Amino acid sequence: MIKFFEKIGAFTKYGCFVLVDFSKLSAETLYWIFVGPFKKKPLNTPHVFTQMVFMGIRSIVIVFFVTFFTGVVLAMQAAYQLAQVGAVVYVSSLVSISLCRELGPVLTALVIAGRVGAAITAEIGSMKVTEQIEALETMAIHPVRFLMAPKVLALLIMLPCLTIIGDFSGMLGGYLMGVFNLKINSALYIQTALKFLSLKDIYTGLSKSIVFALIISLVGCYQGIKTREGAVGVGEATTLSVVTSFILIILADCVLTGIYYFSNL
Amino acid sequence: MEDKKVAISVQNVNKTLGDRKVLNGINLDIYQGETFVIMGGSGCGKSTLLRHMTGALVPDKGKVFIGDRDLTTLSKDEKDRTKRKFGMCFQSSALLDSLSVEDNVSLPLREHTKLDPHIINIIVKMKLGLVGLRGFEHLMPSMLSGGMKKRVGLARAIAMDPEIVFYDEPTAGLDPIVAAVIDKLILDLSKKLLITSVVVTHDMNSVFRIANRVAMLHAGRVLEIGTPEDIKNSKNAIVQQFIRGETEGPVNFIDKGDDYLKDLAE
Amino acid sequence: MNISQSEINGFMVVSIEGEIDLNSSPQMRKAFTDLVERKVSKIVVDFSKVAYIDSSGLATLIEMMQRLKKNQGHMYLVQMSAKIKSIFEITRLDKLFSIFANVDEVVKAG
Repeated sequence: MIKFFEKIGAFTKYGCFVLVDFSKLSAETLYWIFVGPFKKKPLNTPHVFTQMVFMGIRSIVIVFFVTFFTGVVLAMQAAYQLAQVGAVVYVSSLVSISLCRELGPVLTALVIAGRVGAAITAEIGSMKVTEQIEALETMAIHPVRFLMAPKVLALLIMLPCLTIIGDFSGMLGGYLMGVFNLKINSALYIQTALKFLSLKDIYTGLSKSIVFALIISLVGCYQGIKTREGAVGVGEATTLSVVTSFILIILADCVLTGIYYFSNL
Repeated sequence: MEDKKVAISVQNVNKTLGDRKVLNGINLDIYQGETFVIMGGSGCGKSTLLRHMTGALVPDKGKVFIGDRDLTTLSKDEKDRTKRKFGMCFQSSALLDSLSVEDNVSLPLREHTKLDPHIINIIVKMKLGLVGLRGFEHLMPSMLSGGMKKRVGLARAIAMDPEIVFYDEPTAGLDPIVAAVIDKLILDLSKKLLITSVVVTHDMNSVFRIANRVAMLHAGRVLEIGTPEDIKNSKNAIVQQFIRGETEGPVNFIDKGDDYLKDLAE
Repeated sequence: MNISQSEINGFMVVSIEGEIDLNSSPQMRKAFTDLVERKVSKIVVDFSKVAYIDSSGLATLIEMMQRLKKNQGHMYLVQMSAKIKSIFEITRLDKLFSIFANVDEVVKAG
């Protein structure tokens, strides 16, 4: 029994340690993005742009596919229910609102966590294992400023953009389903969709995606820099990074939706 | 060594990693302009000691002076400023694999100076010429052989004209000719540019080629320190076993007793 | 670092005083650039008061030599101490530059 409590104690201690460590890294990274460039040294700008291309441009196709078919599925499921009350035309507003408020940001974030979060961890992790991080430190080049802050900034810019693309391609999927299968008039579909969709639906969705971007990139960097020796270490860290990001994204989504819901945003 | 100015002073450094005591009260003085070799068997703590001198590790107890500044108590900014005075050549060369050879070598210059890109470009050419790698500027590290990577690593280490260069196993994994080339580079740099070199190695050929002084580490302690001649004539049995590379002596890897057989029989 | 200039027999003698390092070499570069833009073609660099020169200093000299060459000009280095000379030797730049003992010899040769 005492062993059991000991284990809980050790686990809590470790959890607190990780939390403090992670917060330190996050604070440092945000410092180098928002304060450092004006006080000390600019960011590694070329790296920001290459990362934006990798994280953003190269993710468009996968984001498109995932959200497009989600839109199609959403339209079918909604039609199945709404047909019973003879309100099939409201498929359009249901699809657009649920995409912008919820599914667009979350699905995009999950896809990017799998693609970009894993890549961040694998890159930084293998740099750690091959002494490259230590080499940077020995040259008095701060790895957080040189390596991590550019990645976090790039994702902060690109994830909201991808979310917008996701929102649109999802709505396109719903639209095609609604017009060609459910035989809703095209103009009527668009009109209904826009009538119920307000600006706040879009910006609450985008504000979520900014939080998700921070989660994905910071967790990715943290797991990368904590990688243990060897190829096995890199693999473990990458898995851990994606799993942690997934859980935190869903958790953050729940909290944020709660806040918006109860504060009537 | 006419005027013995101390470049690096390691004073009573202790370090425990995990539950293993890796360094157990190390004392060393390294003089300006000399080539100082730290040798010892695998796991004797020699790389760990090197990492204390570069500031990558902080000792549990003890002090590390670079010139007259104590590396263990400096603020982050001051530590960074001190770090610019030295270069380090890593065992795995540790080139950034997302950058070309040219960008790797110019990285410290671009990060720490306000020099014109054209000037930096000329410096990079000079440094690559110095290590015998002209015309490789645009290759990526993954396209290079181990020996070439080591040389690029060396070019990067001396890009900022450091006062001290640390080498972690500079000749490990290289063929004898390339190893000799690297040794000659180390000698050239320290003799002609008066760079202080600290070399960690267990390559005995290399030790006697380059060293002004040698320290032999064993089990986290300095076993013996002196000129290569002193080491060759050492009375210490462990030192003798090490430089001759014998299997039998005070350090034993092979069990002589029958414990091993007993183990199997159970 | 102090830079002073004087003209002797059509040669522009640039005397440098102090250490030429990462911090001061841009200043030397500016002085040289001015000279090249004024179409001065024969430049003599006096090293008698130079205590140390680093790679950025060497690179600046190389750049200026390249630019002078384009203008059919030439650069001469004089009064090097043994220490400075050895820095040129390790990089084999002593073969690239015209190195003379003093200004008089440059005038004689050039």
